[in-house]
Amino acid sequence: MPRKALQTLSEPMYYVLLALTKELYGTEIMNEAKRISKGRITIGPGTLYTMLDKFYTAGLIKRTSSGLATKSYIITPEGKKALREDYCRLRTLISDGEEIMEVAK
Amino acid sequence: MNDKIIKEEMKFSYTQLSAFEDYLSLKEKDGLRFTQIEGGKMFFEKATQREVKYSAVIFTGFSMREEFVEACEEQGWEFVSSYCDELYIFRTQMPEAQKIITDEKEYFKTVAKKAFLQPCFLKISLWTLFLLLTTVVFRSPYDGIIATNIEDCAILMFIIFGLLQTAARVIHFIKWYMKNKRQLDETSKIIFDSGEKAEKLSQKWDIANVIQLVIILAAIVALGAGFCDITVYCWVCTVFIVISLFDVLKNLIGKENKKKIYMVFSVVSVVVIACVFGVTQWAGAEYNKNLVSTFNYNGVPISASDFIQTKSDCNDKTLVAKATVLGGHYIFSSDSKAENETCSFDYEILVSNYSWVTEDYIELLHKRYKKYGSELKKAENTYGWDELYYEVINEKEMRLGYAVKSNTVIMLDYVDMPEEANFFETAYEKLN
Repeated sequence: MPRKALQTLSEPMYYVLLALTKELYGTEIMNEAKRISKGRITIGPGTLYTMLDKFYTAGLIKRTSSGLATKSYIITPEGKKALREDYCRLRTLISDGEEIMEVAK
Repeated sequence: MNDKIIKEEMKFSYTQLSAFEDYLSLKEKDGLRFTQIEGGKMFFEKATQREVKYSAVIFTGFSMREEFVEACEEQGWEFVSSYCDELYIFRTQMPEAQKIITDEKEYFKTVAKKAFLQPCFLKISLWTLFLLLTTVVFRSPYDGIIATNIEDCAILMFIIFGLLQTAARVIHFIKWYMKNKRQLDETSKIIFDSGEKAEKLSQKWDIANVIQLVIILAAIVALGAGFCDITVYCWVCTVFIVISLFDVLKNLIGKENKKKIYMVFSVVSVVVIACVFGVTQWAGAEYNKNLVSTFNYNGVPISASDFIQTKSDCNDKTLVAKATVLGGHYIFSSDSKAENETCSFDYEILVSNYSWVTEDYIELLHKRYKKYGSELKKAENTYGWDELYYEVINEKEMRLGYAVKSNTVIMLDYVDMPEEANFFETAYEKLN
């Protein structure tokens, strides 16, 4: 999967990468994403593993216990970079919007 | 086979996944529990009736397959079966079980990709097989356009049919894709085909498919048995095209206009079939015309029918004829005594009303001679024919090649005395 395709993260992708700033396995990732989003985002196993597969192929995450039956994952430096870029993008969106919204009040 | 096991053809596409899920639930409700998909068949076993929710998910992350299945099981889903390592089928009795797919916008990309490849791959493989069959198995050993005319028609028919069928699927896919593209932003939910009509998947026989199958079988049998009548192929071809157009139309029109357009289409189909009937009747007349078309040599008619008549008169002569609307192609052998020696005359005759047919045939003859290391040389004395060619093997040895008059070509093979000016009279006498 080329990195280009993941330049703009979808909402669930963003939360999964946030969750993976610490080492987690499948169900834990789903629960953590839900916790971080305060219950707003629910991620099903199909969506999660499709996403993990894309991230893994793009080098944004890595496996941390490949020998065990339950595999856990953690974000890579490249993944952190992608997350930060998206974070900055969202911040820019908010600050740009804020100016307009203040005037519109 | 265990009588508790029921087999069913797998007849759904990836654009119908939710109908497929509903179908499996309906089956379970009727006491048939889905067990697996194998070799394009779905297997069910008789079991107690129960309310079960199914989920059919396309998952392409093969390296994470086991983790994915485990995670689904942790969420209360029972893994039932997978198909081609891309479609995974789960079931649960818990109505509140976590949905397997939650981001349908992303999921749509995977489904669309697989849904596009599924029918195309199948169709392309099928039609490649058909083309190979018609080309390799049924193709005539003759090289020329006339000898292979029927076979070419059959191949063309399969190509047209295959293309139209594939076009129908692609159109259907594009419509489905565009509809989802438009609505996915608003609804965040993929609209699968026939979501409310799971029963449709239970219909074992689709009348259009049955007709297609019968026609394909008939065409193959006709080809195999050597019924070289172009009328048959015109008919088969037309019915193929009408059915294919029907398929295309079915995928193009919306529900609201269906009845009206189907009616118009039915009328148009009848008109088309009537026209084809007329054309084939005309073609039949042309065919007969070619069969009796005469050619004059020194004022004496030689015609295809003369040759056929010769065959019935003389048992020691053999005649192989291949006739189409474009012309007649005949192979004729005759023994004759010349100067107390028995010599054999072999003739290959092409009679056609169309000059392009004879021109094609002549070109083919040139290629044929070249292939066997000799060439054709135009004779200075044509003995009354429009053109006369000799086959030159070496400088000394020459054989008579072919003679052309109007739209008739006569191949005169293995005659060692081309100089004999009376040869054609002899040939003509033999033919008559």
